[in-house]
Amino acid sequence: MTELTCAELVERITDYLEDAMTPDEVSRVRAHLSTCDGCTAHLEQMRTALRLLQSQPPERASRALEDRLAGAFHDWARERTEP
Amino acid sequence: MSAAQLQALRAGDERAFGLLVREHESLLLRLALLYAPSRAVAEEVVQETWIAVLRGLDGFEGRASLRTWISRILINVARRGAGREGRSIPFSSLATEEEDGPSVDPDRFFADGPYAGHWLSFPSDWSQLPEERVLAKEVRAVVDGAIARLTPAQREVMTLRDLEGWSAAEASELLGISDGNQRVLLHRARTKVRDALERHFDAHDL
Repeated sequence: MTELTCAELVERITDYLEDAMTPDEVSRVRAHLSTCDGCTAHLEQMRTALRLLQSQPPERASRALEDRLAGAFHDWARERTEP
Repeated sequence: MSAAQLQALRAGDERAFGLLVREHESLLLRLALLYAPSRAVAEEVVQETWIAVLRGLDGFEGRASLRTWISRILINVARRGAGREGRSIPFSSLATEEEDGPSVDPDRFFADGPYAGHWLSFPSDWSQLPEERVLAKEVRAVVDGAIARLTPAQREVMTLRDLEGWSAAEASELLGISDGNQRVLLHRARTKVRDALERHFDAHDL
């Protein structure tokens, strides 16, 4: 099993987080992480970034858009019921 | 949205429509904002999308998920709108990978010697940061700023995967890209967000 360098590992971090690795590759990543504080910190930083991204507040429609959508729905419903 | 709700919507139930709109509000606005030059145009794209969704409702067969179907309609609406206004809009399906080389700055690592490829200095330990610092409003703004500076293809993928929580398969299908290409774009996007956060935390907190 060839050892990964840190520079190689950081480029595979998304494959690792996405479960897009062979079992052998996963073992190599884990072996490296178990002895490398730098890559462990980097991985934790990526996880923090991800946690922030996943909890960014949602986009909200303006009141004006909500009103326009309600209007569009009424138009559509009327068209449907009128022969 | 359940089959029963869809049924209610087809029958003209306004509450079912309200629920559907609310459920997809953030997704559709975020997508529209990727393709539109302004928030006002993005809202017009969303409005036109819903009109097209209502008109096409009877033709929805459930082969794709409802949100994939609606998102596809939005992309078509955005594309047509851009065409009318003579703007070109970027889509990941058309983008070749714009960036070559490693996503992490090679200067972070020893170039040669016995430690070649290893960290020159370790990234800082963010577990030291108090949670309220990590989740602070200004950090949210740093994340938004980093996303705004991504390439269009990276933004598309990150919007669906990380902001809206889509699966890799669903995002790749909508964007018409391979799973591998999707992952490359996601990796570059996430790395850039991490970089921006590192600059922020290292300057202010660590």
